[in-house]
Amino acid sequence: MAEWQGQSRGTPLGYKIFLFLLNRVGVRAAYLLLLPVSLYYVLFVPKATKAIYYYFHNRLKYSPIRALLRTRLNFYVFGQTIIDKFAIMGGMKSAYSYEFEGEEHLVDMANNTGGILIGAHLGNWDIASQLLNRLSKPFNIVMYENELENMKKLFEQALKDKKIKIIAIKQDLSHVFEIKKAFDNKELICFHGDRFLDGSKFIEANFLGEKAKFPHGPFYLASKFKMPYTFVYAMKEPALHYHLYATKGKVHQGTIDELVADYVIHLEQKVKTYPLQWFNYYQFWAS
Amino acid sequence: MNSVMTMDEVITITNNFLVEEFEVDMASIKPAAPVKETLELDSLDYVDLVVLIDTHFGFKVQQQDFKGIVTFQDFYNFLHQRVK
Repeated sequence: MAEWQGQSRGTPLGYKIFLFLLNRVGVRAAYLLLLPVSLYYVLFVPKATKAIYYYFHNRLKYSPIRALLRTRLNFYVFGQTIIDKFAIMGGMKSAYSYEFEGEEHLVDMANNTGGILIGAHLGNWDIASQLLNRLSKPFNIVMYENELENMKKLFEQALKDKKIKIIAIKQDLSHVFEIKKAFDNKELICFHGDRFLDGSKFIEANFLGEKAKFPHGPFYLASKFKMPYTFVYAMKEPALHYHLYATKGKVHQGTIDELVADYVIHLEQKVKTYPLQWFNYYQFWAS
Repeated sequence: MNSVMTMDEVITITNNFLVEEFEVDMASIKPAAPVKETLELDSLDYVDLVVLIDTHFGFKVQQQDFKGIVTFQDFYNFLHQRVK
């Protein structure tokens, strides 16, 4: 199975413990707690471990030992990004430093045409969303409803009074009208370009040397509505630093497959630069 | 947009844009066929459908309008009801 099963791991209680620690002891001390937690995940969440090991060993061609060590480190870095997310949401933004490559492209889209931002479960997308609320237009994030289930209340509280809106893809199709409204208002709409649910349409593309499936929807909308699109990433770097990237906005004129191929090229570049920050904990590739 | 349309006109316009935009065979669009499965509509494809209805029939679809639309005949009936 190469599909994501629609559930992100982690519980509100777990996040609240981290929030408590953050407030009491700070970010770096909270990172220490991740050492046993990340080991727990490696040992007791075998599907996720296997998926990440496969990514390092089979796709990035690391040796078995190196792949195993990197797998553990991947869980650790993932935990750090969660801590960072809640630290920043909780008002500790100044504890971090940031650089933003291509912010002008987003400002241009926000002020003029609106557009589609396509990210990935690579790096810390939520950090980007927190920082982008300074743009002049409301900022919409489209997610699968199940992805938010565990953290919905926490998100709603954290996003209160900000210009970010989460559009959950629901069976009742309410998301259709929210997305349409955002298009009409020339707002920015963000999608993840690397996940789809079982039963959803997908597009296959060669990613890191093997066929993988990508969601049809975001690329279809960008292609169909001739909306400017940009690929956006927020990558964690040492010393509480984040490097955000946005590519120049483009209106796609070719096929959807060509658009996905463009996305994959950028995604591969970022994966190779930040290999530890690939956070898709399921079998991503067809095999 | 023409405010008075016959059912035949609604069917012709609808089938034409569905064939063009969703790349389905005209032959697969039958009154009793299910819309979602025939067009292979994904959750985000409905955005396109909403825009197409607005473009071709000149009215804005509401969320509740999709309730009860299962077959193409349901779809035609809904559209005809709004433009007749």
